Amino acid sequence: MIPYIYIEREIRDHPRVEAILLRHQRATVVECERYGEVFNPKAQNFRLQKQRPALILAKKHKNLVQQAPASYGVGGDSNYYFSHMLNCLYDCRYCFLQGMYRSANYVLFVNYEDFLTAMDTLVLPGRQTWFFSGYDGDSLALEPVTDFAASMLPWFEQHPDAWLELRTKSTQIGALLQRSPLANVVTAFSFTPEAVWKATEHRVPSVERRAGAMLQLARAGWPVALRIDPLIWHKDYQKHYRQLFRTLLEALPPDLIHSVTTGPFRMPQPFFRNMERLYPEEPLFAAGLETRGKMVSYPLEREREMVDFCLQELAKYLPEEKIYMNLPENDS
Amino acid sequence: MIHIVTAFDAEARPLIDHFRLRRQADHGFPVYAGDDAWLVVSGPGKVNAAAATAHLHGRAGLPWDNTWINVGIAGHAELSQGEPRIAHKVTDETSGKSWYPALITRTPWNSAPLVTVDREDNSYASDGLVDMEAAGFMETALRFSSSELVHALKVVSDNRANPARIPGPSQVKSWLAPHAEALEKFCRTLERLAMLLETPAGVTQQYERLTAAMHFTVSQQNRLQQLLQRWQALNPDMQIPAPVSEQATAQALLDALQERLDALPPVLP
Repeated sequence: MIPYIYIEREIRDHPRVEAILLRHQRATVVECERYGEVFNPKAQNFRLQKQRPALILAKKHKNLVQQAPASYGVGGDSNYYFSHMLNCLYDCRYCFLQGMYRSANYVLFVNYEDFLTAMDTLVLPGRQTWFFSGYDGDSLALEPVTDFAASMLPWFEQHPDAWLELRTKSTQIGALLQRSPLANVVTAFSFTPEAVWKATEHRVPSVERRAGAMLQLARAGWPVALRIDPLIWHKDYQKHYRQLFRTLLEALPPDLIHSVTTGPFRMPQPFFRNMERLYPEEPLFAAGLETRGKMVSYPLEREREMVDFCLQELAKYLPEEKIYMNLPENDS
Repeated sequence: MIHIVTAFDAEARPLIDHFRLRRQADHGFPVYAGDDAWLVVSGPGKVNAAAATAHLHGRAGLPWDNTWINVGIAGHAELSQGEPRIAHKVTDETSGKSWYPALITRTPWNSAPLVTVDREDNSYASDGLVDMEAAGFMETALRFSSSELVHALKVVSDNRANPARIPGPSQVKSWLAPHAEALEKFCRTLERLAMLLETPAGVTQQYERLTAAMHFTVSQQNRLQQLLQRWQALNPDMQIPAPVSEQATAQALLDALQERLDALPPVLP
């Protein structure tokens, strides 16, 4: 249950706001001028707020759609990302959001139509243009609140050169299953092995449940993808990743999989420092990492060993052209 | 530790009794202290509230990320006298600045917006509570605590049907006293959550032992704190080993500890 909903005065009468309030009649509504008044103040603690996050309804005014890093892509001609949400229902200990934001409240930008207008200017006929959603939050986890996917799909149906990635750790696939599939909307499920899920991905549905949701979606004709990212080193990681790939890829025929991407754990140093401060008792941050340039990551040798291993294992199940390696910028 | 700021003695009295606080020998503001709570009486107005909050912070030993609460009476157009509300938004009417106390735990009271005015206001034009202190309190308390731990609890003293007049002390006490126990429970819950933000005890103990034994520069102290935190996360019940702690200089100790930590493989919780 969402206890408090903060709403920017400007969008108080927005139909999407009214619909959300109708579904959350017990929530206390608090008006604000701009979401930053609630979300950005320094005297806040992400870890404490994660105990009981509030929802902030806001309007995104600029930078609605942004160029994706050059290293990121799944075979399209041009790549963009956008964030209709900031923050996530889940509490993954390795997640950069806890290092990037001071507040754990969910911000939802309700002006979806403005995102679509911005996308419209970027799509070129005959060229595959990707729009990646879920960078600053899970694309589907809060679908029952946001109605995001359901609202975006009709536009993508009319724009076959525009491709949408819905990136998620959730099992909230109802909005997709309710309609006929679209070839240009790919639901990308993020996975780590069960041991990592148990240790670090708090509140995330189990690997089994997510695999089930992915299979259900694929069988209904929707393109699905796997995001094995970030790779988390641990004792027996080879055994565990091998087991994960077997579980996911033996159940799902390769032709139903749009793509698999993988990438190592990398964190901008200031975010990492914030995360260390938030969770001083967390062993995940305490050993086996080093600072390279502006990033905290595993030592290069360990990182390469993991990446190579996972790429080799994935290649046992999928053709090379479906496997992508994504490294954050400033890679060394 | 709970830190309470009230404007008037009559607002403070039920809390002094409940928390069994004793008057301290302070000049400037009346300060009361007990085993697990502090209280200051600021006098009316946001400037007094800000100054008293800062005074209490110093008096309590400059605590970081503790629970702070402004308790008192306020006006409201509609609510009945004696109705309690916790503020979910505090606005300084003069500057227009707002604060949004984060309510991360269930409270026994409903919440409401609160506007702090500079002069008594009998118009009852606001749809929220009206007081004269909370904005000064928030502005100051949020310099040394987090918005999840800083709150304002107000009890309605006047409304459109019973316009503002100065209520007698016994009247104020009778409005506030019934909420003292719930206030303590609320604050204790926040204190338990605030413990998540504390440096692990093992880190503090080892840090104090090592810095007492040899000289560390300020930057070395920071590095020591960070390395001990890593050590403690990996070895919750272990002191750093003697070959490290018995190094001759602070620099050698830090390097030896870093070397040990860097040699360890990543660990899953």
